[in-house]
Amino acid sequence: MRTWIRNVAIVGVLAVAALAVIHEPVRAAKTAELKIGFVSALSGAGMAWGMGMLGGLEMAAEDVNKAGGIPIGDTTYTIKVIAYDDKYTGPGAVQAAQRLISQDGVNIIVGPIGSVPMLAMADVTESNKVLVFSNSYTTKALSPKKPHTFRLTPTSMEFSLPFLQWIVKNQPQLKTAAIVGPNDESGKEVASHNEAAYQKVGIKVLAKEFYERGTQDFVPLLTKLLASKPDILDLDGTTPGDSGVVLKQARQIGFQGQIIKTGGPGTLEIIRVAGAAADGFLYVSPWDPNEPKVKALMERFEAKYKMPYNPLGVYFYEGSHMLFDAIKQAKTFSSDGLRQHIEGQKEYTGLLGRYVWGGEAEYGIRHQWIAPFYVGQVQKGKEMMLTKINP
Amino acid sequence: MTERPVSERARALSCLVIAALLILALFVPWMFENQFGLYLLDMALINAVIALGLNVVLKTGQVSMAHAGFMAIGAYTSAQLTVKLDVPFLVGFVAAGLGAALVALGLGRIILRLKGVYFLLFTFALNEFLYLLNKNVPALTGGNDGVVGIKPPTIPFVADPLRSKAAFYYLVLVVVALALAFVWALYRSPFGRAMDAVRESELLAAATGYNPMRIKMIAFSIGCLLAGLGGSLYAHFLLYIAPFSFTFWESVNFLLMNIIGGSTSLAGPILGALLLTPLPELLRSYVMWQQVLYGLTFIVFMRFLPDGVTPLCASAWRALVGRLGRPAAEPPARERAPDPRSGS
Amino acid sequence: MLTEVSIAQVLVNGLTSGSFYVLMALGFTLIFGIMRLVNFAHGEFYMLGAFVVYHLYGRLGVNFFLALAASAVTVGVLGAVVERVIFVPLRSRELSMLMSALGLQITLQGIMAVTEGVEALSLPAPVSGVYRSSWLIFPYDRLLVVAVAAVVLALFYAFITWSKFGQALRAVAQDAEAALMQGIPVNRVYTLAFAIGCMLAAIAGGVIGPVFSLHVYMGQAAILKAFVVVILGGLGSVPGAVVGGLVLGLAESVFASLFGVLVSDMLGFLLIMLILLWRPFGLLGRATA
Repeated sequence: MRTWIRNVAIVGVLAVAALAVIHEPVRAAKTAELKIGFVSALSGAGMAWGMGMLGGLEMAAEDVNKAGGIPIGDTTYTIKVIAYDDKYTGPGAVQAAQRLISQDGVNIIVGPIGSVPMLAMADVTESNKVLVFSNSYTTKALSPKKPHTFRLTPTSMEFSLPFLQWIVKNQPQLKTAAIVGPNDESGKEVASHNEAAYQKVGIKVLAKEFYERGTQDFVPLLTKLLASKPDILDLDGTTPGDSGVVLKQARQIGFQGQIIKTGGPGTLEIIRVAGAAADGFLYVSPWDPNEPKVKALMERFEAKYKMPYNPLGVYFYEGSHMLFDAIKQAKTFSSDGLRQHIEGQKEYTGLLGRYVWGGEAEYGIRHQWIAPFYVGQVQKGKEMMLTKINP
Repeated sequence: MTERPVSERARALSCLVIAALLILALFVPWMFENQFGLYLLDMALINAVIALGLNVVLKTGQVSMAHAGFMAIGAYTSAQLTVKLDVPFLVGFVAAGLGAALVALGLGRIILRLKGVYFLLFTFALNEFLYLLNKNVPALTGGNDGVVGIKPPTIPFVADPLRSKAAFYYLVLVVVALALAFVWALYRSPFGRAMDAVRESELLAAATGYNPMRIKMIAFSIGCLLAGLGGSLYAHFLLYIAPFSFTFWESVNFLLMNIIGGSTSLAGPILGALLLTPLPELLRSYVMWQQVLYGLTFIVFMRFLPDGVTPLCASAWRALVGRLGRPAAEPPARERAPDPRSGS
Repeated sequence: MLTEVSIAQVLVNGLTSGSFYVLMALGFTLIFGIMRLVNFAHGEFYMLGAFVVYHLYGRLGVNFFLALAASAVTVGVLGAVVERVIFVPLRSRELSMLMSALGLQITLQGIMAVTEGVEALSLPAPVSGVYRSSWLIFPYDRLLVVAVAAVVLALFYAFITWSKFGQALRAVAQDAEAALMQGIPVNRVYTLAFAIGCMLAAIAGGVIGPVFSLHVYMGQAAILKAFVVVILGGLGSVPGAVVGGLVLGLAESVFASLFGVLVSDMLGFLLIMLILLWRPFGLLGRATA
């Protein structure tokens, strides 16, 4: 009996202690600070993308703060970024969003990456009327039921078709394709968009195979996939690290067709892992890394974060600038005011060119940012841009 | 174990503390201005239910690494029933627990033969297999996308639906309290003693007339039932579930809760859950080092605190209360038989 | 579907991956056989081995085999230290040792993630090129792994059978108490066994790393394969690891050709469960008390 009482008492005392620790008073909002929340994969597998996104946001914030901040009425706001790691998981994203909303009091969140975190977070952010500017490839991310959610990165829905159309025009001898992708929600989404796109341009998809994340040996998969001798091997939504291995191993087992990638950029990593096997590889690139302004941005990121800048991040640099611009022009950062202003935006001109908002046909709501992109090819170990495709 | 003589004042003090805590527990949501703390608390309590279930399994000496898998069975059962078939929450909740228990019962017959490390390895493989299976049968589980749009719980006459975190807190509190009461009664009953006997030596237990297999099966089913109930609460709290929430690492987490809290006492898993759930939040600034910290904690605990945090608190409590009454002589250190759960 | 792919190719693929698995599993089964410890951290020693080779051979240009040897020695020493510090005090507590191994896995991976970053690195193979014939394609870097696996197995067998240390290892594996009574320093044997297990893991990582890619999470895949192999073949049995590895490699290759790799991934875990239920000591293991 005594032991039991003691145990319950211990639970109680420690519970109170734990509660006391969790229970932090909501920080008093500083009037001159504009807090922007950020959620993404800042550790583990998706880190390259997550850090790229964060870098984009933080560098844009730096630019604006250096230029004097955002004046609204007679207060000048400095932008403060509060970033939390969601570890590329659903519960992680929900928890991070909860903390940003309840504890830090933000009403604008940039991120996350990944369909699962995106879908998981949606309930929390929509019910709290928090504006979300995200990455994530799933079509379910945007919908008329989610009026506060926007997407800053074009997905395969946006660029697959133009990319494939370019390929068909410039390499008409390619008639068949095989797709390899990761067995997760992003991988499967990208594959299904691509299949539809292939159908539209008249290329036949002979086979598709998915693999579990963590797979290192792709030879069994490739042996099966390439047995039907397709003209094209599409790396789809495979991560850059995996793509490098797939490329290398595909060439090793004798595949001589065209290898392309219609999703998930990160070509530098691919070149690094695959080496000479990557020559001739065609892909979609958000930027031209040989352009001086882009190069400067890449160097700036690398100096600040000590890692290479993932191309995906540029959409967040541009997007954040667009956001800050919009806040300045709308003279507000309240959810409704800002949202209406952005929805009314005609176009935005940034580092890469002209951006417009679109997406009514695909998602039922015009919250998809349409950006210019490049078709790139690896030539002798370097990235060369072949053409630019504008919205 | 010999009972120490208790002073009247010590007993009165204990009762007072408990009463105070119970009343405090009822008022917790008012203490929190901040929704995030409540969110963490709700998650911690959900985890407590599941960790408690694991404790029941551990009590018969079987270390299961598949508890997240059974949590998943409960979560998906409840989620799919309420989303696809529009079944009311309470029915889904009960179905979740029963579903998990039935699977446990069915599997238990064949897998509880395995002992020690073999059982552990089996449950590890089982969890991974279920995880992969989950990803590859979208018709049943939604595959990688998981189940979206799960509705918050509805309790007839009380809440329709239960939207706020404070309300959810009371729901989970009730579940935890009932689960605790049940397990406490179970442990003190003859069945509980049978469980102890089986853990300490199956051979001896069988010789004494117990049926170890039957006891282990019942314990395993009860433990998995609680996991299933926890899974249902989880689904209706987060309103979205996906395969990634139920990997081997989640199972390790529940085990860790028992280890750190102390698996030999009932307070252990609850404590473990309350401590471990908010921990990542406190370590947010050190995300990269978080993993290293976790690993080192494991190692340190296994080396120095195999019985978890509870004995520390117990000594502290004893020291505190001892001043009020006559402390009895400490029973000799090794009087207790070695307890495989804590690895001692 | 199978006819589209040369059956010979499927078999060769299977045997090749099988040898990879044997190499990965060797150290793991050794440690279990001698110390009855399921070394969850095995994958991390594998990863460490690969990284040492990456730094010595990939970045400093040291001769590959020299780098491999250096890696084995370094990781082996680390293993010995870890064993002394973490496992010795927990000697009789099986569950604690297991959980500590898990803790070690998490810690090592975490430290490497912080120091090396999480991006994939490339480690060029010491041999390149591909053997091509009309019915078979065989990259040379994989052939190297098979060769190294064979050499390591031969050396290990010689060590176990003829050297004094090897005999001491076998004695302790058979019956630690009896060995103790014979005057064998059992504790030192344990440390040696653990160190050798880690060395084997490091060699596996160093030679397999170039074939795939190098990153701090590469150990996860290795240990999952090692698990299946060792349970298939029998925890603690070296011939079992060989049989288990080859069987797994072949089974996976065939299943992948027929049903795709997602199914073959599930196969591994299904096999573990079936073997544990039907024949817990594996195909070649023996019942131990």
